[in-house]
Formats: sequence, C-alpha cells, structure tokens
Amino acid sequence: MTINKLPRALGALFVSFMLLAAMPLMASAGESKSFKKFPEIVDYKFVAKYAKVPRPAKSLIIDSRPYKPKYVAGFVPSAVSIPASQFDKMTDQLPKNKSTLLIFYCGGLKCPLSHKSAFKARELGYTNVKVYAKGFPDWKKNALYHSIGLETLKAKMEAGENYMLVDARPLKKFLDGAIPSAISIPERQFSEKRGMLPADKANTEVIYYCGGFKCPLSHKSAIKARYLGYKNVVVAEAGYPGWKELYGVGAGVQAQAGEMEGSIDTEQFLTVLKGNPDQFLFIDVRSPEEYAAGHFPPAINIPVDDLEKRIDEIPTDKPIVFSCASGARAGEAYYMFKDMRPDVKEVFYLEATNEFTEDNQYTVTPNK
Amino acid sequence: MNRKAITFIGALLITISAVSMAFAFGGGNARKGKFLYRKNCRSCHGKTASDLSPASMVQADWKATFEDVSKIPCNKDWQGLPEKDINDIFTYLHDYAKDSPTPAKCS
Repeated sequence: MTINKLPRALGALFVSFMLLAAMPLMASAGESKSFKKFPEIVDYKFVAKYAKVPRPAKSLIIDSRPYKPKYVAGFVPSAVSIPASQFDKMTDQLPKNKSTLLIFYCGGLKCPLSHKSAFKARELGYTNVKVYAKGFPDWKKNALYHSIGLETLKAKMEAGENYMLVDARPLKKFLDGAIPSAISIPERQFSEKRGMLPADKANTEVIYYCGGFKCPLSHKSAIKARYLGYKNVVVAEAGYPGWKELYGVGAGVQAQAGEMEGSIDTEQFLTVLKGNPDQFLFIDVRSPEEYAAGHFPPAINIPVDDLEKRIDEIPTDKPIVFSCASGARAGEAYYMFKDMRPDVKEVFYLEATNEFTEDNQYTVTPNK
Repeated sequence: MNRKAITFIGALLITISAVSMAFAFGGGNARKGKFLYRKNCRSCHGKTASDLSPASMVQADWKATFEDVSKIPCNKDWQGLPEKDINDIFTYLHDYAKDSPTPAKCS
C-alpha cells in the first residue's frame, strides 16, 4: 500500500535532513546529543486525516509534552495528553486494541519526547505506532486551527485579552448554561449569524467551544471562520462539560448586566442561583415579614429602610445582587448602595417580579 | 427651498420646542428616582413636612406640581439638584401615582 511506503520514504528523507541540520549544532555546542529516533515518521498530511472530531475509528493522537504549560496552551485537535514523563503511569489511557494507530508528537524536530513514548508503546505490543516528528510547531504552521485547554481560556478571560468566545451549540443549550463571556452562534446558524463575529479579523482571537471532546460543532465552526478570513481561530475542546467540571457553573467572571441600568441579566441570575449560589451575595431588601414568608434560599435580609445604617456591614468580596418583590426597592437599594459606597463596582439588582412560597420555592418573571 | 417652507418649518420648530419646554419631564429612571426621592425629599416629607408618597396624588397632580418646580414650597431645600435627577424623581412619583397600575407608598 502506498500509504505505508510514503511515510517510510519521508522518514528516510527526514533523517538525512536532520543529520545535516544537526551537524553544525553538534560541532559548536556539543550539547544536542542526538537521541534515538523512532523509525516510523509521519508528516502533517498524514496526521491531518486523523486530527478530527469525532475521532476516526482505531486511531489516537498523543501529545507527549508536559500537560502544563505546553498541552493546555495548544494541541493538535483530538489529541490526548500523555506526557512522556508520565507515560508509565498513564498506560491505561491507551486504547485496549493493540492494532490501533497511535501517533505521538511533541515540540518539533529537536524534541525527543514523542520518540521515547513511541518506543515504549511498541514495547507494550502496539503494532501501528507513528511519530509526527515535526510536531506541534509544524501543525500550527500548516493547519487551519488548533485546540487549547480551558486553563488557557480562563487565563485569557482573567487577563481581559482580546478574544471572542463563541458557543457553537444550539441556543437552548447555551441558555441552560454557558462559559462566562461567551456569545451564542449555533453551528447551524453560522452563516446567518456571522455578522456577530468580531470586526477585526486579524487580531481578535475567536475561540469556539461546544459540548466537549466528542462534539464536532466547534471544530466545524472554527474551519468556517478561517474561510471567512479570521486569522486567529482556536477550539477549547473540553467545552462546557469540561468547564463545569473545572470551574463550576457561572464561575470566574462578573455578573452580566441586564437592560436597565444596574440590573443583572435574569437568566444569569437564575443560573448562578441554582448552580453556584456562592458566587454572589444575595440581599433581599424586603421587610422581615415578607422575607419570612419565603425568599431565595441563599439570600440574607436587609430591609431597604435599614440599608443606610447597615451599609458598612455588607462584604464586597463578591458581586452583590439586591432583590425584592417587583424591582422597585431593589433598584432603590442599588442606587443607595452606589451613592454611599461608590468604590464598590460589582453591585446589581434584579429587575423582575418575584413570588415566593413558604418553603422558599420561587417564580421569577423579568419585568417587561 | 422657498421662503415660505423655511418660515413654516421654523414656526413648527418653535412651536414644538415651546410645547416641550412647557412640560419637559417624563421617561426618567423610576428606580433611581425612588432612591433620590428618599435621599432628597423624605428627609423632610414624612418627618417635618407632610407624608408624601407617589400614591398621595394622581398622575395629573404630579404633572401639575412639576409644571414649575420653583413653585413647590420646599424648592429651596433641593436647589442644585440636576435636572436629570428631578426628572427621575418625577418619573418615580408619576409612574407609581394613585391612578397608576402600581400605586406605591414609600417602601
């Protein structure tokens, strides 16, 4: 079969090229002791056939570099992380079927990690083992996009970097819960909604995600965005399930504003209330009697008439959300708080009509 | 453009501005108005002055009251309040007046 011959020929070419390239280096520094290279070398074109989601049957791409900072910063789509240093401990991550195609890669021609792991895999009895010797630098040069870890996304979020996060899942999924700061452009509506993508195609990084490692939507959208001319496109492959596992629901970022000045987005209010109430400080500003008759489970009670006296006892280490019955007193509390403690930025109120039962069940209806 | 049309448009503009000057309030932020009312008005109304809530009057009365704020007896006490804040206060009082869909007492 030609497929088998091609890599071998390329491998031979590569080895001779490598020798030529390494010669002056070895002469000058003597440090780059050449390591034992794995004989079965493959190139970008070969790897690209398998770097797909869902993953083609009987294949697995393995990133041999350290998980942090290398793998999380960027990896070949669909690749799993088995750092060479952890290989012996992580053999359970390898497929059971020993005839599965295993492609190892790391940081390029000077990196021995993928070769080391490939030899070990062959010792374990895997019969179809390859090394993508040019590794990740070559992938970045040739491919339309690559994937990133959620750790990298979180860091960008916190640093306020110039990116746009896009949720490629259907709108309903997005509304049920999404990674903070994401906008919804479902893959199926990519064309209709492409106007929502950033205007600056060269500099703004577009980060796609969807329902996790088996979900192809973010990958499809990423490719389309590249064809639209976006230069800097990546996929946060672990998607929303991964985010929930790592950081919880609604974690990490400030509240999203609603339509009225100072109001919080009602959807987000409910998501955090249900999923991760520790993220906000909920203050119910109704009277003690109303509060006693039913309230949001995590809310504390500071009636609006007492707020002025008690303003300094309110902790400000997380966003504050005022609520009442109709939004009127909560809005008043919001403005009063802003007036008295202008230094505190993260203050919101719920512009909604709320009904409670005695066992703290609630119905929240956004106003207008 | 002919002179007549210009004169007409000019007259129209003057009329519009005159009418809108006659009553410039409305459409403010009732939430903020509620707070501003407490801060600037409730310090007297309800204590030393008459207890005054949105539901104390009907919408037409509130409009009439704010027609000329300088005639409001306690005008002196809230001199220097920006127009925008006065409008927010008006919006709160007017939108929660006795004949509004949601009449309100002060908290």
